[in-house]
Amino acid sequence: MCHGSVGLVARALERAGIPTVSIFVEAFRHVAGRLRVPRVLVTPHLMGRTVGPVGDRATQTRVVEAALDLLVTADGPETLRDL
Amino acid sequence: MVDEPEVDGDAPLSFADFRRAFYYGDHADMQFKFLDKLEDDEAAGFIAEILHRLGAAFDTGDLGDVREHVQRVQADTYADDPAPQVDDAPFTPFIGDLEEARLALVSAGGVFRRDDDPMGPDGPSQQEALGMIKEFLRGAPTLTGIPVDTPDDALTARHPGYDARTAQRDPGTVFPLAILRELADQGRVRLADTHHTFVGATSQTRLRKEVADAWAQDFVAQEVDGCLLVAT
Repeated sequence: MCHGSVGLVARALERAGIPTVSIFVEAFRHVAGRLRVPRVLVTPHLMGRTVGPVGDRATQTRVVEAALDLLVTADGPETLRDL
Repeated sequence: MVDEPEVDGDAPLSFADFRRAFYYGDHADMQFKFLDKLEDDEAAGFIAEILHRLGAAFDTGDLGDVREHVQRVQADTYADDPAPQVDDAPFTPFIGDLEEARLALVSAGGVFRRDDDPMGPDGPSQQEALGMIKEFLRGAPTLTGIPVDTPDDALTARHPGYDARTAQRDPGTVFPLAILRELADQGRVRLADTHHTFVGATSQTRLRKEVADAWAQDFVAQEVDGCLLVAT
């Protein structure tokens, strides 16, 4: 549900001319494909801990850096990358 | 003559009732609500394996195997979920340098400032929100603005679709604003003045038809050059 909501917002932003990158968890990887979300970083984390475990600032930072790299380097729609 | 034991009027709890109760029932638990989607034998196998791995974790102190099993069954279970399909694939290329672009964070994790509850000063607790899931799913979402300098300890979260106690403990799990500030301090990104959250458990139809495009236009007006979105 929430991944679908993020997908819809990402699509609207891209239509309006704003590039996006979305972070998803593995369990909802399929939503990225069905909603054709522009750029998606998939993390191997539990639901509700999309960016990383509680207190694990190193992992959270690595995820944010990977997402920003995807934002800049993706060269076409539906670019999905695993962390 | 032995007195007859008092008979409880309720039917005995079946295993199916038990596993379904994790989905907004007596055992409501957003981390395990997927038990509702499993067959009885699948749910029984899942629970038995969790207990088996927990027993080992008592000795090793390492919950990694437990976490791995939950994550895998979550993924397998939700993979069959129906999700809407679309025909077009919008895409806007990122142009320029990240260091110069105004980046905005948008999280679906229901994070908000403790002193600015989007549902009012007497807004529901996380537990109360679980009982309001149908209202959330019927309603249109609203965007909550969070100033860029807001520290993590000023934030909390509420969300009827996942266990927001995680984000209450550490907002960085779903709203990594503090990390983005660190990157900005290093000169690696530039941040917008305001970042945003909403509750992703919401009417998909209303989000798509009434809300998402208006949000996008607001972001254009705020001269946002790129967005980092976090799903929960």
